[in-house]
Amino acid sequence: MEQATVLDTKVLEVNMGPQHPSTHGVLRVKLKLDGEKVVDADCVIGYLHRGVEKISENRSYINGVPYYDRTDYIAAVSNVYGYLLGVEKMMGIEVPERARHIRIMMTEFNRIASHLLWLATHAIDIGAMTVFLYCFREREEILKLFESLFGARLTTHAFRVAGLWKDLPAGFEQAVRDFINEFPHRVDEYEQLLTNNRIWLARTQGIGVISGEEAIDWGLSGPVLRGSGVDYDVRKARPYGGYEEFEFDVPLGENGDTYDRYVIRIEEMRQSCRIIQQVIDGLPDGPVRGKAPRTLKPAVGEYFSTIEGPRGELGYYIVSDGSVQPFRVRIRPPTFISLQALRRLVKGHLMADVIAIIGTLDIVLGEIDR
Amino acid sequence: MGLIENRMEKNVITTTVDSVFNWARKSSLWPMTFGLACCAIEMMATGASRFDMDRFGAGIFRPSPRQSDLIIIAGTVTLKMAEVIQRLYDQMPDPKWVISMGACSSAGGPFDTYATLQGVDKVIPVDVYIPGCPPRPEALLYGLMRLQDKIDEMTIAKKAS
Amino acid sequence: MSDEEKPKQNSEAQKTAGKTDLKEESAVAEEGAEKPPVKDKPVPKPKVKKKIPSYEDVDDDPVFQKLNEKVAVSVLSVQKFLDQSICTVSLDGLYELMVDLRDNADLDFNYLVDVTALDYLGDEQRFCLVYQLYSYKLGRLIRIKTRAAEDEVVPSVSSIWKTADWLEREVYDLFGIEFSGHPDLRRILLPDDWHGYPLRKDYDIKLQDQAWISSHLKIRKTPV
Repeated sequence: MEQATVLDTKVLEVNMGPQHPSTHGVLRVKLKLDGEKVVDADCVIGYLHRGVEKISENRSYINGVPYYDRTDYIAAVSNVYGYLLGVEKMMGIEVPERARHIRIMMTEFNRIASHLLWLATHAIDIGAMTVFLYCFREREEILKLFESLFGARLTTHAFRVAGLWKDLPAGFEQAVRDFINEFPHRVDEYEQLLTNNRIWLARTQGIGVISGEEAIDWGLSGPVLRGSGVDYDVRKARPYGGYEEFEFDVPLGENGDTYDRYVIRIEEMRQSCRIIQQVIDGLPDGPVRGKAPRTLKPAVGEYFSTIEGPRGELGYYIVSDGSVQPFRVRIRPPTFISLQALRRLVKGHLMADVIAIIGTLDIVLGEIDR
Repeated sequence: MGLIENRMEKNVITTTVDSVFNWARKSSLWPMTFGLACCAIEMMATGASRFDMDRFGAGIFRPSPRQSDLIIIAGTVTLKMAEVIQRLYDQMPDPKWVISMGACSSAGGPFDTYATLQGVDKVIPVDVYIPGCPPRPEALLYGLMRLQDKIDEMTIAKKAS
Repeated sequence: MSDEEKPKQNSEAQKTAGKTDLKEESAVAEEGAEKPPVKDKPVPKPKVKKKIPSYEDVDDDPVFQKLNEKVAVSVLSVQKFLDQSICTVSLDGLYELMVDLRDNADLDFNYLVDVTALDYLGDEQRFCLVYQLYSYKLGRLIRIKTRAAEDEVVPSVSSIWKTADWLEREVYDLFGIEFSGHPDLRRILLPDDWHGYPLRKDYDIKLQDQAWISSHLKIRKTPV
């Protein structure tokens, strides 16, 4: 009698539920598995849909800002920056030079804080628990700076129309200098733990590979796109807010895998440090707030302002109908587009790699669901 | 526990047993990893080294509801998610406690819209509410300590009806 | 002589403290204090009127001049607002225009940045679909707009750019606009069996689907 040597398998559907330690928020992934290999992954989102775009139609231009803080809550400063650039352009408001430079400095701090949180959660998902504690140590230093300038740690409502709320407090510049003197050594510490670690290399190299053309077709941006070798950074392609005055490099990857994206983000942290050094060395004197009318009433029209957020190209499409409330504010979320590519990236990988790929896309459900 | 609960009037045995059980329960509250939105980041910061939550015995975040006795609802609860929260709460074994962290889970927060549940206490019973948007890690630790005080009041003696 | 000045200043302060009569105050001030030098009144700066931005029609935009002739027929207008180009097309020519924008070797708009919609309640063609496109070759961002009536079906561009998949699903979910040729058109942000399209202007912001709530949730009585 012939004995069957190959078991008759079926595709198994596993639910990676909205409550999961590694989904970085309330994401549900319906995985179809053939043994350990992933055949298909369907994402179900909307568990954090709060109706921010509808709310913004019922608030004035400046009252809507705290809501945009809470979309991408990890990088709240850059959200507000993108929105205010659009509003200031529509109203024709000038921002004084000191305010522009301070805004750039705080946005770069925000980028570092966001990448630190990304590294902490990505590493702990893959299994490196120490990195989580190290990254949060540095993040606390940055949050202390945010608190002293903006008044809040996380959801900051960082900037105001035509500049900042108030000038830098006493001791701020010294604290910034202390931080940027110490920070590159800390990044070296993280690199020591991870970059040449055999386990890290085995878990991240060759995982989630996507080519440059495909990445463009999927609409990806930010480190996910640059990992595949495409040189597109909104700060260089369409400079805004004064970035053209500063020197910095944009790191690019070669293979388009998870390891390259990790290396890029580490290097971006160093480059942000470089920008902050330039800002703090040449910070001009002057007012921190320009002239702005008390009630904002832009002319009938529309504007699409984009910035390079830590996760990609964040856009705000503001449509005005001449009244004090916007007609429509559309937030173009980079992570919504990145998560769409998850289905393409996980095919053929093992189930444990799904976690690594979700981590490397650097998603924030607040921004995806709005 | 079911055999000796609610049988005796308050006496020295019940108070001693109470103090031991309550001390054990409050000193090793195991929360579930349930971060929804921005408050989750502050919860993670509370678990990190600066505001160490582990010194309260509550540092082990369990991924499964079946192994945890505390759920910290950190973030906005939408209607789509409320269904899931009901199921998770039912899966937790007794005794269980709920901390509602932040303005959104306590009362809807700034999001009074079509998709948001105005307060998680509409679907599960809440023990401690922590206001803030997001509450500072110290506020979460204070809420945790208030929950520990609440646990201290539990007793196996007959309750006066 | 500071001692003499001090009592004088004090008496002046006492005199002026509770007084509301301006004439007496100025008289008292002039008695003791030195008269300040009379400055010339500053000449008011001529008010420069800020230019209010408006839509300007553009005839010579290089992008739209390179379009295929068959496709260029459906272009209704090309405008500029604050240095951003906006092109309005008719709904029937939308799909061909998008294909041409991507495939045309000179234009190469291979990056679809965003797809969204606007609701002009009351207009016959109620919805306005907005597409933001970027070309790596030209380094330019353009906007394509098209109008659609309430029950009109819009051609999907997900076969042109893969990124349009979820973006169109979101437009369907929040506005109710149907796309033909979409691989998987279902709700994405709201629950699958929700009724209503929230971002429409006639949908109240606090309107919750009570049928959905009663079938999916067990609402408890909140403690007072």
